[in-house]
Formats: sequence, C-alpha cells, structure tokens
Amino acid sequence: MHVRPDNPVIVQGDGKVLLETRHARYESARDFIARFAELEASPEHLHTYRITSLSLWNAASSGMARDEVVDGLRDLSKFDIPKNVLESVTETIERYGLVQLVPHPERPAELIRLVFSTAFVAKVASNTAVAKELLVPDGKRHWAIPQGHRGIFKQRMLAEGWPIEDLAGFVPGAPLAIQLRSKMKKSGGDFGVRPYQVQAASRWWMEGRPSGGHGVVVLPCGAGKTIVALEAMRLAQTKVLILATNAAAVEQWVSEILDKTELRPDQVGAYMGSRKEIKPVTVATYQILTYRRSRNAEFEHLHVFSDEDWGLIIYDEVHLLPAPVFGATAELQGRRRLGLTATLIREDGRQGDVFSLVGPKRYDLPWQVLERGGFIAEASCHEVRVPFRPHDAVRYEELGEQDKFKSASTNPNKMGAIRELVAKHLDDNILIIGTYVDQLHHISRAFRAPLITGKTPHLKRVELFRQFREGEINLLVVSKVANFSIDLPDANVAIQVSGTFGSRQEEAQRLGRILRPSKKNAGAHFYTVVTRDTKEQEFALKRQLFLTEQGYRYYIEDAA
Amino acid sequence: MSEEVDQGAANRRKRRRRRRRKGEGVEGAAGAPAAANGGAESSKEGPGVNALAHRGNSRRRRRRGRRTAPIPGLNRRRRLTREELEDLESYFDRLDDKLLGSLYKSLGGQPGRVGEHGRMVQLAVRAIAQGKRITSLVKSLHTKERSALAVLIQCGGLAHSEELLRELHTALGGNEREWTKILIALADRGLVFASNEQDGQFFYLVPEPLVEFLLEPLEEELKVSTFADDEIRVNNPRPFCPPLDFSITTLCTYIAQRPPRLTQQQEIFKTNKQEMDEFFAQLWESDSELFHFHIDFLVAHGLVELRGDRLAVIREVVEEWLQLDPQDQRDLIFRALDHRFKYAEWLMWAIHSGKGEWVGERPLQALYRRWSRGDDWRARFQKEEYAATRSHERESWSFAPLVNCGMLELGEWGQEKFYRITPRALAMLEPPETDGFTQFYLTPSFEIMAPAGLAPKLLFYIGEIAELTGCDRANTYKITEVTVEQAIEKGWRRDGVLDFLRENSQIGLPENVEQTLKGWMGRNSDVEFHDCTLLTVHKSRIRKVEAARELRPYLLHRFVPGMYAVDRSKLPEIYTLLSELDLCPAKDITSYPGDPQQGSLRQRLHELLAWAREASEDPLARAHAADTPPEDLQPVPGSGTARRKRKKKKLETERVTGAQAREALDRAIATGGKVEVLYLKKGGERVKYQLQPRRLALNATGDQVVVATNLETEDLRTFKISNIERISSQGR
Repeated sequence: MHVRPDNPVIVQGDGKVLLETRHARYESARDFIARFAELEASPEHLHTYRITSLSLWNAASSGMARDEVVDGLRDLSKFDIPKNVLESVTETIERYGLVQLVPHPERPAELIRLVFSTAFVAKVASNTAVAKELLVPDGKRHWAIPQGHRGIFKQRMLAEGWPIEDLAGFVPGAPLAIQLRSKMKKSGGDFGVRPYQVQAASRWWMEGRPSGGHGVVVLPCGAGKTIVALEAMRLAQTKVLILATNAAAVEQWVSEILDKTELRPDQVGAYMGSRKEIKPVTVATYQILTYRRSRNAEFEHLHVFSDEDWGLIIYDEVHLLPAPVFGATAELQGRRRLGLTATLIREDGRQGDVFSLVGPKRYDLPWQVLERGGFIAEASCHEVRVPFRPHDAVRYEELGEQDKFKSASTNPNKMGAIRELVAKHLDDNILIIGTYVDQLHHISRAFRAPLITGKTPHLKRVELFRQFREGEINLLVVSKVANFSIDLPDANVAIQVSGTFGSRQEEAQRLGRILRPSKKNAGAHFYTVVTRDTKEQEFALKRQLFLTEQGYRYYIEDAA
Repeated sequence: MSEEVDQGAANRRKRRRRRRRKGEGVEGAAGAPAAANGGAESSKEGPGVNALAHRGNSRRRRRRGRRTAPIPGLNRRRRLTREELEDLESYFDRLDDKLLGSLYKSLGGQPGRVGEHGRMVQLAVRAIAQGKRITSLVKSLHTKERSALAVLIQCGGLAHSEELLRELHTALGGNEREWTKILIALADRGLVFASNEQDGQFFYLVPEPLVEFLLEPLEEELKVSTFADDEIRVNNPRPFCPPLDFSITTLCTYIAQRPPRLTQQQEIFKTNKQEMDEFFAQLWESDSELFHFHIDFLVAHGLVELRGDRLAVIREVVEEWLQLDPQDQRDLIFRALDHRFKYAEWLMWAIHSGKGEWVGERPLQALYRRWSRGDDWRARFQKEEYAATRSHERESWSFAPLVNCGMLELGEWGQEKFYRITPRALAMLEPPETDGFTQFYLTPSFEIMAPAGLAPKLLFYIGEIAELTGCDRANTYKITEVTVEQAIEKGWRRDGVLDFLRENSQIGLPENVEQTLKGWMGRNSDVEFHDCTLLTVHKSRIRKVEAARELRPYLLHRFVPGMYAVDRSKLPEIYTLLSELDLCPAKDITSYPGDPQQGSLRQRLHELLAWAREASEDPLARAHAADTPPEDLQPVPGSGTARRKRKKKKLETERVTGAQAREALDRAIATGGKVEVLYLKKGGERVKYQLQPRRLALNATGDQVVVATNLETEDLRTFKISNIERISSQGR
C-alpha cells in the first residue's frame, strides 16, 4: 500500500470517490472524475462521487477508455485503487460497445442489424433470454431486430448487463428552420448562448453523427437548460416535440421559444388540458400524455408522438419522466432525443431506463462552477427556529403523532419570524412557499400579498408571475405548485414556512426557484422557518443533510 | 565460562542503556554490523545481519530509535570507550594464554615476543579496537572458512560439534571431515573455541565480545540473497494493507458499537460474523487468519472481553493501549505474532533487509533452521546435554502463518517461492515519521472521513462520538443524536466533543454541525463532580512524572499535567514507586475539608468579615437615607410652599441595624416564622416584602444575605441584610 497524502482523492472499496475541494488539483480532478462517476454529495470541502455501471457506460459512450480512467485515478489517489474497483471498471467499460446496433444495409426501414465485437460475444449475447425473444436471423451470419424493438431491446439488454451502443442513426424528421435571436423579442435585451450551453449542446449533437443526437444534459436549476434545448433545436433544424412537467412550464417554454428564436407564434403550439395544438414545435405536459379515463383505458394522447414527423423530442426534467412515456419513448428510438435535468437521481431508481431509452449523459457541470462564473446566484440556507407559544406547546404534546407535524408546521408564532425576514429583505423579491393552504391564506392576508395555489386559475397565475417578474409586486405567497419550472427570474429570497421535507427533489426545486441570478446581484437566501423541539425540527435535519450534501452553506438561527 | 560471557553481555547492555538515556545517536544498516567498526551500535537493530546475528546470541531486545539512511562503514568508526576497553581486557584476561595467543597471532601479533599475559591482553584488545585488524583477519580467511564462521554466528555463536558439521554439510555441501578441518583452522586463528568435551561431543563457541566485530567483515556471507523479476506472481495481493493500529482500533470501535454475540463454543454467531466479514471486506477475507489475529490480540490484551454472551470493549484498557508509546504498541503486536510464529519479528527484519526485494524461501528456511537449532543447542549446552540428536534433521518450516496474517507477501516464480514484507509489516518495522494524515474530514452533512494512517487515538475517539459506517481507505462515520448521547454517557462533555471536532477536523467544525450538536447535547455536564484521590505534582517534577512509564498504570486520569486521579487502594504501591523514581511524596494525604471544625471557623471568619464590611459603611449616611424617604418629606413650615400640615404616618417599626436585622432573622429561621421587611433596592427604591427566611449565607461579593421565600411571588431569593431597614416579625 503506497500512501500519497498529497493527492486529492481517496477511492473506497465500494466505488465511492472522495475528492478534497481545497486541493490545488481540485478542478482538474473534478472535471476528470465527473466524466465517469456520479456526484453523490458535494458538501463543502469534500465531494463524494460514486462509480457505477451506468456512470462508466456513460463515460464509455463519450469515448473514455479503461486505461484513461484507471491511470487518472492512480495519479490522483492517496491510496492504491481497490482491486475490486479496478476489476469493476475494466469489466464494465469493456462491455460497452461489445454489441452495436447499425443500420441494416438492405432493409433499413424494417430491420436494424446487430454487430458483435467477437464471435464469443455473439454467442453469449445471443443466448440471453432477451436476445432469444427479440432477435431475428439476418442471413446466415448476422442477427437483427425489427425497427420497433429498438428501444425495448436496449432497455432489456441493459438490465442484463449488456449496454448497447446505438449507431443505427435517426430519421431526420420534417425540416424546420430554427434560428436564435441576437436580441430578445420581449425586452429587446441582448441574447447569447453561454459557452457552457453551447458546449452541452454540441456534446449532445456530436456533429450529427449516429453516435450523437441522443442523451441527457445535467445542469443545475437556474443554469439555463432551456437555452441548451434551444441551441439543440437550432442544430437539429427539424420539428420538435417538447415534454414538460406541467401547464405553467409549458407556457414558460412557449414564451421562451418565442422570445429567443425566430419562430413565429403560429409555429409554436401547446398541448395540454386547456388547449391542444399540434404545431411544428409543440410543447406538451407529461400529464396530458399519460391521461386515461380509467385504469384499464388506453392513453388517449400518446398519438401526439406520431402526429407529426418529429425530428427531435426534448424531455424536460427527465428524472420525472413517467413510466408510460418511457413506453412511448421506447417506440421512438428513431427520433433524436434530448433529456434535461438537474439530477439523474430518480426516486424510482429507473436511471437505467433513462440511459437506454433517452441516452447516456452527455454533459454535466457542478453548480459551484456556475456560481463562480456568476451564472447562478450564490445561495445560503438558513434554518430559523421558532418556539411554540406556551399554550400551543401544551396542545402540541397532547396531539397524536400524525397531527404533530402539521401543528408544528402551522405554528402561529412563525408569523413573527416571517415578518422579520420580510422586513430584512424589503428590497428583495421574496417568495413565501408553504404546503398548508390555510396557513398560506393567513400569511397572504397578513402581508397583503397575492397567493398562488393549485386552485388559482392559470391565467391569473401567469399574470401574477408577470407582475412579479416585472417588479410590480415583490412578495408572492405560493403553494406546492411553484415547485417546478416556474421561471421567476428576479426571486432571490425564499421563505419556506412549511414543507414535506421528505423529498430531495422538492428541496432542490424550491431552492432552484431562487438560484437564477437576479438583476440586483444580491445573492440568494433560502429561509426555512421551523418550530423548535418538534417533529418539524427533526424533519428539518433531513433537509439540512440534503442541502449541506449539495454543498450549500447552512446556518441555524434562533428567532428572537 | 558461560557465566563470564553472560556477565560481559550484561555489562554491555547496561552501557547501551546508559548511552540511550544520554540520547547518543546510534545507527546501523542492513548488512552492516554497527558496533563491529567500533561505530555506534545499532538502535534500529532489526535490519540485516545485525539482527540475525544477535537474535540467537542473547535474544536481547533493544529499543529501536528512528531509522536513518545507512552510513558508510568508515564513517561509523569510533574509538571504543574506556569502559568498553576495560570489558574487553577483563574478558581476555581470563582467557587461557594459548587461546589468547592464537587470536593475538592471527591479529598480526607475535605472542612469542610478549612475555607477560597482561601485556598480550593489552595488545590484543588494542588490535581489536582498531577494527581494521579483525577485518583483515576475516578477509584473509578462505571462503569456506568465512561461510562456516557465518553459519556459526547465525546459530548464535554456539553450536553442537557434530550437528554443526551436519548443518554445514547440508547447507554448503562438502563432507564432514572437510568442515572439521575448516573449523579447526578457524580455531587456530583464535576465532572459534570449544566447550568441555563429553564422550567426544562438545560445542563450538565464538567468543561473545568478538561477534560484534565479525559482523561487518562477514556481511556478504550473512546477507540473505534477494531476487527481482517482473514475472513473479503475487499470491492473493491485497492493495489495501493499512497499519495494524488502524485495523485494531477500527475493530475495537466496531465491537463497541455492534457487540458480536458468541456461541457456547466461544465462536462469533454466524450472522454477526457475516456482518463483520462484509464490513471489513477491504481489510480481510472471510474467516481469515488476519481477522483471528486481531480478535485474539484484542482478547489476549484485555481490550475486549466476553460480557454475558457478547464481546465488549473495555474502554479503560483501550485508552491505556492508545496512550502507550507507539514502540510499546508494536512490541505487544510483535509478541502476539511470535505466539503464532516463532521469531516472527526477526524473520520480518531478515526479509526486510532485502529492501523490498523478494527473498527466496530456501535461504530463508536455512536461516530459520539455524536460529531454531541455535536455540536448541544453547539450551542443551546450558543443561550440559552433549549427546548429538538427529531430531531436527529434516525439519522444514512454512511461513504461511505470517502470510495469512498479512505480514508477508508470497510470490511464485516457476516452482520457487519468494517472500517480501507487506506495507502493514513495513509500518511496524519502520514506522514512518508521519503518514501525512493528522486530521480527519468532517463535512457539514455530519459525516466524518478518517483516512487510514490517522493516529489510532483519534480514530477511537471519533468512534465514541460517531457511528462507524464503513471501513476502507478512509473510515466513514456518521454523527447522530444517538451517538452523541452515547458519547455523553461515556463521559464526554459538550465542550469536549466540540473542541475535539474543531481541533482535529481538517476543515474545522461547520457551523450547522456545531449548532445542531449544541442542540442535541444541551448544557449537560458543564460542571462535573469527581470522587477520587488526586495526585498533584510540583511543576518542577511534572516532566519526570509524565515520563515515568512505571507510574502510568496508576494514573487513572490526567486532569491537567501535574494533576492526576489515582486509585486510593493502590497508594502504598504508588508511594514505593515514587520513592524509586526519586520523587518525595508527602507523608500525609491532604483532605478537604481537612477538619470539620476548621471549616466552621472558616465560615465564621467570613461572617466576621461581612460584619466588618457592614460596619465600615457610614452609619450616618445610612441612617439619613433611611430617614428621608421622599414620601415623608414635607415643606418647611413658614415657607412659601407651605400647605396644610399633613400628619406624618407613624412608622410601624423602628429602623434596625444590620446586627438587629440578623438577630430578628435568626429568630425567624429558628422558629420558622415570617417577617416583614422594608428593603432598600439597588436603585434606591424601598419595598416592603413578606418573607419566610430559610438561612443566612454569604454572597459572591462576601456580603451577608438571607435566603428567603418572598411570600407574595413564592420565589426563593437572597436579600442583603445590610439593605434591610426595618423588620418586624409576622408570626408563623
């Protein structure tokens, strides 16, 4: 065992990679490790990555070889690399590309040919259960799969440990001229794609080769994933179907496309509950696509996928992609695909499906880099602890376990702390976010601030967001509806008065609301008001762990 | 004769110790005998020839200092001290004239021209002290003679005549007659002697004082040959070979946190064992010898014991183990290894003399055989059993126990086997100055990463505060509310935990962690009571006490340097030990309170002081202040502001002095009665209080106060007696 304490990395036996962030070689080490390992936690000073099969296949798909990974790790590591990790890296990386899908030379419309790297691989791979079920003989020497089985084949082979390199190419889709504006349509301000956004799009596009044109771009909230998508659309020059999480997000997409591209309003449509337009660029919600009248009924709107000759499908927040959409995506492997997300972690663990059906990770950039570059706001998290009033504390103790959390979350004493915070940030744009609508009504009345809940009509929401963006109001009370994809560019303070505190996604999304850099450049502040010595404080510890793991500074304060 | 040899060796040992105390630099090098060149003796001992030669000779265990790079032999030459010369002279003075003459002659002297025995002794010693003369003598020997002498030295400088011939025949070929002649030739040179003879059997002996001088010239013959080839296949290589103190401490922590259950056969339950194997997968394989060595070590040294049906860590013993000097820790580990494989440490040193190269199994076995036989011959020599035996003729050894314990690596090249030491063993033989890790990482997400190589003390303490979640190149720990509570139960204090984390974390103590820990720990244990016997040391003697190893077992806890807790029942032993250490303990134990009567007198003095202070105040001013409350002031009759004369309200009670107030309070306390007082508050305001006095006391500034319950507010508080202006009894 050779120990080189001056190096920045420790590789653990379970595939974890610990990286010192204060080390002089941190940046180069980070860029290197991020290529083949998933960032698991990034608390200050020590980041944790994990080498997984998927992360290695992602690396392999970007052309990284086994020796590059091993030599690089050896050069950076304090200790010798664990034997099992070396073996795992070797075996895993070498598996990628052993089986390739290539266009069939004679019947490209019906079949896709399989290419095995060796005869041995051909023998082993073609003997798997999946292969036996889906492969068809292609002459005497070759195997092929029907075009329609392309997705399901990749998905199921991956589950058996055979990552397929898909070089079968894509249908070009109906052409559509898409150009980005140099000045934004609404504000007239300058518009340019940031260098990292260009890089992300070009890594995805890979100069139009069959190995590119599908995959996922991972960027933190507020980093401008939408712009990456617009750049990808410009590269593809084809009709585009965009899938987003909800109606507000759809509106946002439409607005962004019209604002930053030369496309006309008649070329951009929204497909959701209230209106259903199919246009050369269509933005639809996952909800509408997965809608069905009953459990046994068919999905009524999946036809959207085939209504047009789409050349590109963009999946916003790909980590939320619902299972039925996976099914539809499996059948659309002939189309170019771009996934956008802030995290590849899926609560349901279906990262493998994203890899095989949408594509491998093409680009990833830690938020710290963007923060340093001024592309996202510098954020700090604060936990403000508020006591119960004496009689509320007594009542709290008498409650059952189920009700305690709600009681603590809606502690009336929180109003004082919220008032102080609002007073402290008088000049900032503040979002007050909560889960319990009664509590939010109360706050809304107290501050005479508009409230947005699930019941707020869509048009009213849009109007309020507009007012908030344009500075007509600077305090907005919102319920869970604000968790996803509402672009509030000038919000820089969030006060979370109640939450579920169980979901990592919810925390990340709520924090993401304020990460977009504000014009005032005042930094972002994320406050959570919790009731001291209650269940809520216990849950707050989970949030504290999550946020600190993400690398945010976390302060605990007692309300006066 | 053997007594004389032992006596000489003992004298040398004493001298070495003395030199060590003086801090003389000592060195040695692989394949180079230190003292042979009159140079400083080796304090590192182990490497190469030196260790091999000395191992069987006296089995003395010298303390090793810090290893340094080998220094060329010539630079190490020095003059022998007067004491050493006297020792040599004394040894040779007792030697027979003829024997001495043969040695003197081979050293270049002419015994025939020296008439006196004493003069020959003097000249022989001088020749040996020169160093070069003995080197020339050895170099002038025939190769086989040198080989035979080297084998004899490897056997410990003592060998049975017939069996040595067989050993030489086995190891070096030739025939026994030839080797007999060679040994005779060595005897003629005065390098080899013989013991008494019994039935034609005797023992070959190399005079003990000569051995040290023979080592360097015989370096080549004594060296264990090494081998290097890229084709050597390493059997079961383990890239992660942390120092043993890391794995021992980690295992202790694991057992402390997840005590494994034992079966009636004293084996760990299968499920517990599986969990342990999984947890320590990076360190050892399931059911490996290395794991058993760890467990045996912990149990044998009392770090772990069986409590009920589970293994439990004995914290005090672990702490003591952690406090031990690293060299002492290693000594314990080496001895534990010796139980598994005799001469384990020496073997490791011998292999290490190859400087990381592979050492062939056969030469190693030959060396090991000579060590074993040397010991056997010495025992028989001491028992005067001269008859030859053939019992060890075909003895062979496997070094597998040391390979399985993770101390050696086994390599194969064709049919040949080779060994080299592992980084784990290297850390024991040549502990690095520092492993580069002096601090751990504490993240804001309450995780601690402690890299292997961190001080075992730190590792253990982390394990007391946080849950061990993974054992690897960096052990991972998680701080939770439960672990913090457990740490407090173990005697950690709030500030202790925070200071420990703050001082030893490479990135300090993150603010959120500090706040959360404070919340979990509350303010418990800010102040603690101890019931113990204290041993305090005058500041001039603290260093001496701290350095005294003999005293350590008796110092149960060190509060600060110079203040220790000791076991009351061990006081006689401590007294004896202190006297031996030239420390003069006080005859009597100082008690607190020393004498109960003294205590009350002390209290009385403070009371008197309070009265004296009270009396020192200006009575007139006090009286005036009490007599002129604003509500009682009236316009001067006849003045312009004169109004209707208001009748002065008669005071219910008279103004009292401090003594009067105290008397009244004393009475009330004795009878359990209540009083009403007019009390002068800080701001000058006068307030009436209904009080139930409890007792009289002194406050922090030394003023007399009454501790009383305010009957209106039902709270207990103190009232300065000097501020009581009026007091009246209210009955019970």
